[in-house]
Amino acid sequence: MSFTERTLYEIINWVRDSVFSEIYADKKGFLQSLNPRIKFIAFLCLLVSVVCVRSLQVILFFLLFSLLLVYFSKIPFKFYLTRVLIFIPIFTGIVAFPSIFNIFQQNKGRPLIVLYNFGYTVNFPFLKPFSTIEITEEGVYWALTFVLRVTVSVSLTVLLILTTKWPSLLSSLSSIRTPETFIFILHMTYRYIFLLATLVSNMLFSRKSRIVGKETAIKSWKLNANIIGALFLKSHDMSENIYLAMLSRGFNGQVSRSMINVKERQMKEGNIKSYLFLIATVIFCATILLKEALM
Amino acid sequence: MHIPDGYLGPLTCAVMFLVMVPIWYFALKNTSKRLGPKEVPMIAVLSAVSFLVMMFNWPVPDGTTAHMVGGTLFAIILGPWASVIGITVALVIQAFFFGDGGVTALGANCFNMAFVIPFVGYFIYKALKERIGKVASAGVAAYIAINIAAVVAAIEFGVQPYIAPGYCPYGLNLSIPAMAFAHLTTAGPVAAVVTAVVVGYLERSRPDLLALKETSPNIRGE
Repeated sequence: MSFTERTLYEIINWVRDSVFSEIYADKKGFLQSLNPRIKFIAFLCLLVSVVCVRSLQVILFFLLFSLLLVYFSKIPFKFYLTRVLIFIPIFTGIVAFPSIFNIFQQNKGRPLIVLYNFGYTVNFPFLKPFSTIEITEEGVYWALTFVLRVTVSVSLTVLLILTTKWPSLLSSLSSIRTPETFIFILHMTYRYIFLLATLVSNMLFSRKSRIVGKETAIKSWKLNANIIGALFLKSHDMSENIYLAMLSRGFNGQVSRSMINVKERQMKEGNIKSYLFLIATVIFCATILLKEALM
Repeated sequence: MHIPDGYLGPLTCAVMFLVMVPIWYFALKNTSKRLGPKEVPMIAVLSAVSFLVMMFNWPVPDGTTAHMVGGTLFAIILGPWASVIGITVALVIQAFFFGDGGVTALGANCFNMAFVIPFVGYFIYKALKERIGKVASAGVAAYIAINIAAVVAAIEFGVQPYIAPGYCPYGLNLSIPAMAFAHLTTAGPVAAVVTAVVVGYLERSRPDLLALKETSPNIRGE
């Protein structure tokens, strides 16, 4: 695949993914029926707790919890797992693997398997002096904890993304006191990403359709850089027109609440259920964290 | 350079958010004061551009591809404060939409990519542009900025094993060389060349854009 094609592929994939995830936000599952704002706060609690907990067993609890939520929200497991596992957890696994060996660790651990004994101290650049190469108990345990923690965090984030429509997700940011101007910019940006993605893919396609033969790396560098330059210019001009269009519709430079809050009515639906979920989540997180602190 | 959730411990995440709060506050205040309402749509659209720029694949010699952030480019065109907002917007969308870059690590990611890159890039560009020209100084600025940001990111997750185990397992002795090597050799040159070429393109076709910082109020006719 040439580099132009790869960029095209990535952009098209992204648009497809974002359209796809809207399908699950429309399903009549448990998480979809909650008030997005309250759900957002509950998920922040969960994420923070996952980052705070220390032991492997407790993180497994969170994994179980998120899988239960997946089940009740009617998201197909296969789709969910591929979406979660591909890239970040696998990448983290590769990153974490060397850390089970003593030579890459900061603290001394109990040896599990000694792979090689030098019999003398070896000094190697960037590493601490060592005399054996071994897999340590602590190394394996903490590497597993690390990978699992990252996986659970990603799975929670994906769950939130899949069950919430983007506009309501953005509006729920206002519940953690995000400035209105910022949320307004987020809304606009999100919409223009789609428009500009079409623009970029058109530019790439039109260029691609005029190329005969092999595309060299240097050529694609020049091509890409020029496309970015053109994109900058086009979007800059576009932003001026957008501003004029906004002015003609009564924009006075002030961002008001009504511009960022979509469908107030929808945001108030399912309040009791949502509060119950939030309370349950907070109790769940608090017990786990307290229990761990006391241990 | 997008740090996912779970790499940084709670303490580091909290500290980075606390560091970013005043930066975001000043950026919003500064942007709305200096740039005016016209720049609200402009920042929005250019954030979308920066989001798309992060999607471009740049072929590098080892056969793989690299991505760039475009922070220096942003800062050259819009100034560093507006870039803070613009890139933060792109990062928030990536975190909440792609799951790319963690939610709890958002403070750290914004510090590295939305604060360090534009500010370092902007001031190096400003210091050099009279001496070696706009195109060359843009390249140099982008190269240095992305490397400093990479080292800052390396410090953030390199301190983890000293605080508590179970997060990023590598100490500073490994994290800094690994990140510095990756960015000095691949991501750095990509950022440098692309920034320089794009600035060259803009200088040829719309030189007024590159002078936007100095002339901004007049352009708006105020």
